[in-house]
Amino acid sequence: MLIDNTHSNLFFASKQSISLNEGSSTTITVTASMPVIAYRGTGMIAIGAMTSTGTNTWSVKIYGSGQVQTVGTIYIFDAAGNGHKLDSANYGLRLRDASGNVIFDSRMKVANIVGDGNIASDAQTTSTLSKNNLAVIVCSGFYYFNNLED
Amino acid sequence: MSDYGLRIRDASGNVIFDSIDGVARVFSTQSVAKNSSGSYTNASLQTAKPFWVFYPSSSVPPDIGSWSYPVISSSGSKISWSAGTVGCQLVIGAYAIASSPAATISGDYGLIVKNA
Repeated sequence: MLIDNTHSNLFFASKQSISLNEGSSTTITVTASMPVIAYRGTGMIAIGAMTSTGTNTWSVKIYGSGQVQTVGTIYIFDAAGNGHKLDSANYGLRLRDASGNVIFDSRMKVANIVGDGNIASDAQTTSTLSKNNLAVIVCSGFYYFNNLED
Repeated sequence: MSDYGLRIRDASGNVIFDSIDGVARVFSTQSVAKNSSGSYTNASLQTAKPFWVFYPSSSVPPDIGSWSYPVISSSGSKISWSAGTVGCQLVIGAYAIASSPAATISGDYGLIVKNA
């Protein structure tokens, strides 16, 4: 089941560029109901904290890698609606739920899954991705963010 | 090329949605209070490859000391968590792919796209 009225598909909502020196952090503001954050760039990032600062507004603290510059783009994914700008073109497919909320819009970029992998404990791995324009969903770092290394 | 499903193109002819692709779907989002635990069960999670993302609600001190962090595990269709002493924001999702069984449908409206 790919589209229905019960579960939300994730759509691309916005993006922000970041540039962090070794071992530094930054705080960004994100507009989404419950953002799913992905990253593409050099080094790695970890989410240090994410707190709600208002309706559909979040403050997100991001730590960069410990020993290299972290330069790249943060991608924010969210459910449709939530104030995200919808294309005004008059083609495509738009679905609403019984309350009138947009739950699918073909002119928003859906988050497609292209792969996954297993990582052993205390290990890191590299995967070669076959398509361009990919970002990796970021989970929280657990431990000693300032010591993240490449 | 399959002869079933749904494919949508934009005005330039680019494919912008194809029901053969896997998509990320959200099953639950919630704030989890610190020092709490909980779980979420949905039969579709067992068949549609669940994922979860969590974000701490508080920033991490350089010296962690007695702080503990959210721990999340999954078994079958159930995802369980313990929030630790910082609490977290939690997103539970699943990869919906063409081979996944149908999710629960609660309404008689909308669009249903199934595979062969």
